[in-house]
Amino acid sequence: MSNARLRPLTRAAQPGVESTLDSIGGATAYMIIAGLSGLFVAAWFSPNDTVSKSLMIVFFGLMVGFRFWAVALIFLMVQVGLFLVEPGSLGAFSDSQGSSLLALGVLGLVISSCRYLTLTSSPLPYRLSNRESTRVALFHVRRRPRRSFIPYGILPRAESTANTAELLTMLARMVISTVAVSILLVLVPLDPMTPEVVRLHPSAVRTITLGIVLLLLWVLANGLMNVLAWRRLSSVEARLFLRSELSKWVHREVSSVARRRIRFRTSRRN
Amino acid sequence: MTTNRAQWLILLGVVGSVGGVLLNKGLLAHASQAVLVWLFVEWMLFRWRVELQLRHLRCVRTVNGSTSGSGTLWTGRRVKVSVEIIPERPVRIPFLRFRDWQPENLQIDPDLERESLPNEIDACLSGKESVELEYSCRPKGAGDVQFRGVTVTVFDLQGLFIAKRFLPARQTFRVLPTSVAVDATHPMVKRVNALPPPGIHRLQRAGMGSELLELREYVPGDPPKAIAWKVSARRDQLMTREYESEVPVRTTLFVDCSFGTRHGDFGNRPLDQIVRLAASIARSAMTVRDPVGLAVCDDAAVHYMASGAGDRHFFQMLDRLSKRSVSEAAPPVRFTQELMDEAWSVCGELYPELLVPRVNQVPFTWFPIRRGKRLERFRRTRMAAVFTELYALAPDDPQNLIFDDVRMASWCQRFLVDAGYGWTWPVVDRRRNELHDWHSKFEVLASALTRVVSRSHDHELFVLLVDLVDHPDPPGRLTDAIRLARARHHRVVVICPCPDDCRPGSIDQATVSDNRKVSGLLSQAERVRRVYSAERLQRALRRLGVPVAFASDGRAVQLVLAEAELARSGRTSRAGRR
Repeated sequence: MSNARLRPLTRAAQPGVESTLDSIGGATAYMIIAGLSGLFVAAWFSPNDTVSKSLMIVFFGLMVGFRFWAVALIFLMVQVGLFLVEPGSLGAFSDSQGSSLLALGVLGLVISSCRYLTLTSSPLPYRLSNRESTRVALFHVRRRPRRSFIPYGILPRAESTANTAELLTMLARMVISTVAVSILLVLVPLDPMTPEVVRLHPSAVRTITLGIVLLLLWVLANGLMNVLAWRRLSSVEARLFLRSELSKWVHREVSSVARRRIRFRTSRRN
Repeated sequence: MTTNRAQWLILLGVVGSVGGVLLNKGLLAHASQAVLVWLFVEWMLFRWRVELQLRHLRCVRTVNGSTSGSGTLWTGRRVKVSVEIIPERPVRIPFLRFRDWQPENLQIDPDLERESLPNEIDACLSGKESVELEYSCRPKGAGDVQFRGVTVTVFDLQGLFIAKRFLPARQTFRVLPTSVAVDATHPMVKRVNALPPPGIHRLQRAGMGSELLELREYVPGDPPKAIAWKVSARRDQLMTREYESEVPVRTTLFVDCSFGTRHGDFGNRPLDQIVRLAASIARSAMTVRDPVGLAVCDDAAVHYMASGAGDRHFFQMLDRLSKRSVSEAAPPVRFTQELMDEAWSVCGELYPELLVPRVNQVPFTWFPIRRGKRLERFRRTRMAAVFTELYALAPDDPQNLIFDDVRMASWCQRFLVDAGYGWTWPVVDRRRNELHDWHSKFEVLASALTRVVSRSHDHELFVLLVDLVDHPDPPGRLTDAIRLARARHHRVVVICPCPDDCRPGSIDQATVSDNRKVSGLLSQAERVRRVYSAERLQRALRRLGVPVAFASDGRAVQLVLAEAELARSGRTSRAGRR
């Protein structure tokens, strides 16, 4: 075993150690960051609104207790709704720096809650009944070992693979994405006549332009990746691709022949 | 492939951006676009890792300290497996999950020190550092075990994207049945320490030879010609001469490998019980230098192995039994959703790259319209294409497989058997067939017994390891063959595979549970039926002078050894009656 990162799990290696020691782990770090980001965003959205703050606290409690990431998103949407029905509350912060800070908070909230959930529940899609879902949620709350989740087809990520470098990378990507968007928004070329023609605010036109640029970038990157992947196909994969492509062309005719043959055989049997 | 989480985040980002533009909220649009840019960066990194870096991983497996592609294992004995994932070039993938693919014939020992499955490990690859995974397992049944490779699941750290690949590392091992040495019931006194020549017993025991072994009191049933009249007159009581055994008793094992014995989980199949018992009987008989022969009967033919003794012959016999225990392609079966689900999940484990939509494309059709049925059709189309590729089928076969349930079921079963799985229910179409093809089974068995009897000498032992519990009235042909064997002074023993709670006499009112559920009542009724059937079989064969034992009974091997002793001594019964 030469991989130093795969250090043994302290939780399981020492049977006498209580599970409270696990609370200082990667998941906890992400949870704290998510909570702070959420509070930060809440403070920015509506500084004088107590309802919004209390909602954020409820959201925070739910995220800690049940760790259903969808609940976090719903509450985030509620926050956005509150923000939209309270005009003028953000007027003072609509400059570039303010919006960058807000974007940083949102991104921090999303990334850290996602990472937290990856550590505590399986990233694989699964479907559970209501009763099983409640039991799994309780297992999360009690911080039961990963083995307990196996009967439910869920295996969360081992905390032993989480480390400080990962946390730093996350923060770096968060900042880079936000700064990149800010810079791109400034650098996007804008024809002075366009806002008048489309009757939109210049910042909205910039946002649309940036969206189109992003879409084009995605198409190009996807094409490049597909070419790279295509060049590395194994012979079996390539044959299968050709077969499936061929069957796409002739499937109507061949399937009607196959159906007729089966019908004929069945009628002869009867 | 994006997970639900990523799809929701993309939706959130797009809705936020559009909302920000429409409502003239620059902050909202900025934050949403930051999320989208971050998703884009994560997606690029993830695809880069999956398409370019993952292909540089190699897998080396060590089984019991050997990296050889083949070898031998024993049922129930511990096997140490070590898997090393070696990057051939420097890679950086932050979150991978490796799982050594587990054949169904292997039972992995639980590892209490680990939280996850013993054959699974989460890792973070950086540079050329390798990852090693160790676990131990035990083969469940005789046959073979194929280690195919390691399933690699790659995630990003946020759980937004997921990809599955398979690192092949194929090793095939023959699994021999473990035999249990059972002590013979007779006293054995070693006369000389030198190894006698083949065919000569060094162990003194009573038999039908010419050398006097000892004198003992007469027991009813002893042959009159063995009475020592002079000694009897001197002592005023009947005495019997016992002679040494000169001729070893040849034992022939008739092993039933028919279709009906192959259903069930590995290790619990009737065939597994039969093979285990056959190995134990052969070992115990060879311990006292009795030659053992083998006749393996399936539904169509008999495969003979000449009798012999010694370690080499014993291992050849085990190898023959092991070969016959390997699951063969199942006969045409009924198509069920469970069968399809199992084949799909195994295909997803072993050939994940062949199920990628980019490679395995599905033609567009309007029907079926309902989402569930549409997804099912997509799955079936993909599976048909994979089968066509793996088994080199004709170009129009994918379409036939999509619409022909019987052919699809048959290929699914074959695929599962090739992947090391047992037969998946239903293995027979119950509307037309039974699990056992009794006619051909009895035909083959009777002809095999008659053939062996016709070539045998006197006083041999025939052990029929046959599943007869579901057919307690042996037909005339088999009964005639048994009568013929008995008429030639041979001993015949029948041993049936049977669950422990279905032996005769195991029904006790106290043990009958108060399970009022339909499934519980049905299983109880089935148990009662099997117990009565076993009792009926015992009665029917006892009338022919054939003792019956059940595999779950620990005394089955001892019964065979006792019968061998009777054959050796020329007596007809252990009670002393002739």
